[in-house]
Amino acid sequence: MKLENVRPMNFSGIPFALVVIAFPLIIILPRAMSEVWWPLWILGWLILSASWGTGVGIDGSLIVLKYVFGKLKIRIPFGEIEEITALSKLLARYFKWEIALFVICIIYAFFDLITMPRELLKGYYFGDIGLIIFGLFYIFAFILPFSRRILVGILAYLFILPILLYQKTGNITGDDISMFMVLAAILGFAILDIYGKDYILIRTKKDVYLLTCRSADNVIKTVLKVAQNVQTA
Amino acid sequence: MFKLPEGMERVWLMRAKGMREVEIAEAQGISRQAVNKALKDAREKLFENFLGIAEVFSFEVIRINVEKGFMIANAKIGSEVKRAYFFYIPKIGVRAFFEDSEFPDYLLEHAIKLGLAKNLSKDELLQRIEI
Repeated sequence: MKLENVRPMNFSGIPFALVVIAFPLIIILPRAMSEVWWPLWILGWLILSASWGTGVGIDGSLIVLKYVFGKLKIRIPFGEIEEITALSKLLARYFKWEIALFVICIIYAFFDLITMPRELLKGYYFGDIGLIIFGLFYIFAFILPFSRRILVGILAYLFILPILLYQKTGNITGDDISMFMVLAAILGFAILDIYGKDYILIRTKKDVYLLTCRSADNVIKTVLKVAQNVQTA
Repeated sequence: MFKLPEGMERVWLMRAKGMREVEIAEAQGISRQAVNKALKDAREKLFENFLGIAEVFSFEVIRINVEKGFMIANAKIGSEVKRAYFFYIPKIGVRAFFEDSEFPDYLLEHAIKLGLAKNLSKDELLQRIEI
């Protein structure tokens, strides 16, 4: 039985390992190997896409999480589950490695931005600034519950963008402002994406899994009901 | 009233207190597989019971933890939404408490035994089990 509008996130196990592999392929190696950057970059995106969950189903007394375009199936026996929680925010204490990954990205981007020569095209700086902005944003998302005050705070922190660029280039042009608008729009979509969903955390003795859905309560009740019906049948 | 079978409850309680399966097996004089099976069955029965309560009273489930035996739910009472806490207490069964109700000493003592709290304090217990 397929659960509609439920997706597993790539925050643990093999899917997270794929994310860890994809990040250097997308961000670090293309800069280090500038002549053959695009095959690595494409491979990185392919691996990152493979890490995204494609669906969640229930097969007998197993909850099945699908990844790698539906080819990789992670099976969670119902009897192994110790906890199911509906989350209003992503919890840092359960996903320390994801936060560590974002921190590494921010440090790398910051270091790269500082050491980069001043006469380059602004696109180079925007790449690093974008990484810093989105890295910080995802760390905030792990720590802070959604509220209007947080939303305003996140939008306010976009002012880091022009400050960082001005520090590097000494001027801000009309094109730069257009670029800021694009980054702000992407960040807006990311905010809607992260805070517009419910999250369900499933914890077993071995691992922690995270699902996204529209209504956590409905999904929790459906999962438990189906699994129990199978066991009592 | 729902209660786990005695032997299963004993094994579940030992695990909830933090003992490893192999230690429980030694203490009870049973195989590790038997401990594993008892824990699996206990988890399923607790899930079933907590879900039954949530379904009957149309509560919104926030957290079900069958390792320590508690559920947090939102209960809609008229236009008001109240936090409700359900605990499985050995030999007693499931007990429910609203956020503004008194938590009896036997519940707080049970929470201390399971490592859910360190003191006989309702506030501390809620702080630790809330997400």
